[in-house]
Amino acid sequence: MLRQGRVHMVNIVTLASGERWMLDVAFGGDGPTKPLPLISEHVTQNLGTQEVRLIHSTIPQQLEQNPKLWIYQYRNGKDKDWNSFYAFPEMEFFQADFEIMNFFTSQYSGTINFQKTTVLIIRFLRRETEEEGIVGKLMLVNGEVKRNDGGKTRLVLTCTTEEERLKAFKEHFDIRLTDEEVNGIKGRNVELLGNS
Amino acid sequence: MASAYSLAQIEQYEEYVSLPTRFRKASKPALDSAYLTALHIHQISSIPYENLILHYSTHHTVSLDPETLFNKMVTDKRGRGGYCMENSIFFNHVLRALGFRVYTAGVRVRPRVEGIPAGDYLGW
Repeated sequence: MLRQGRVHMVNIVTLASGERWMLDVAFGGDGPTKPLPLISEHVTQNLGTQEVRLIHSTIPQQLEQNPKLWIYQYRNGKDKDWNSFYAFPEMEFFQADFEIMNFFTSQYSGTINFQKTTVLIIRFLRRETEEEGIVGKLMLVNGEVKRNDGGKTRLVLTCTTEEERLKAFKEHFDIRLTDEEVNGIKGRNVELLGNS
Repeated sequence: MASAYSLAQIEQYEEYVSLPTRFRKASKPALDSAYLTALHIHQISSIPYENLILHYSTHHTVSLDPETLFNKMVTDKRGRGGYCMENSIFFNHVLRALGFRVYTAGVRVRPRVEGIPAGDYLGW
């Protein structure tokens, strides 16, 4: 399935020491589970066997080789190739810039905008010990609830009706919607209408 | 620019995401990578990435107003999060309120073909 029309953003922190860190808390299931240093090719262990890193380089579409971009890459094992997922410049973006991106992502209903055709939830699972960390993720994609504990993703359940999906929001994600919100799905392209 | 969030809101947030006591503002933690890591972990395990507002709402639109985001994700206590810009702008104001020097950057994403990112990067 081709999913297009994704826009994204990250936070960049500069510490007193001069170290810079990227914090991406909203990319979904393939996002980093901890901050990544802006150090080219510095590898960080992500969920399970996945490794992630930033490289300071260029992407093929660039006509000018400067300024370089920071490219977020992952590989699902040490024997696998690195794959580039997204790229960002060091330039600061303002609230006003995101308002424009947000208008497209929330309002444009063409097929290029997968947000309007997909119901999505991703919540990471935390280990509650001295050494805190992310150990898994729970996902909902349209009618399917899936879970990954660091290995293969497994299907937990499939919802075919709105009633079942609302139950899954509550029981698996602890998300409770108001009656008004629940009614908002009626007649929409992503409404679950059962198998009949 | 100052954070949109007050000290009272930050305390509400710390409680909501179950941040360990040593990393709460009242404990005056050093502004270092260990603190950032704790915040990152508690943020993504407490406030989900979700786009329900586009489907389950009367207006089917998304507000990026920091106060609206705070109420949706924390005050209302209904387990809600938001999509990339909602969560990232919310988190930006949290980091600012805690004293971090932080800014936001736009990201170009590659589309996935059968789960694997491929081809040209998409526009902002």
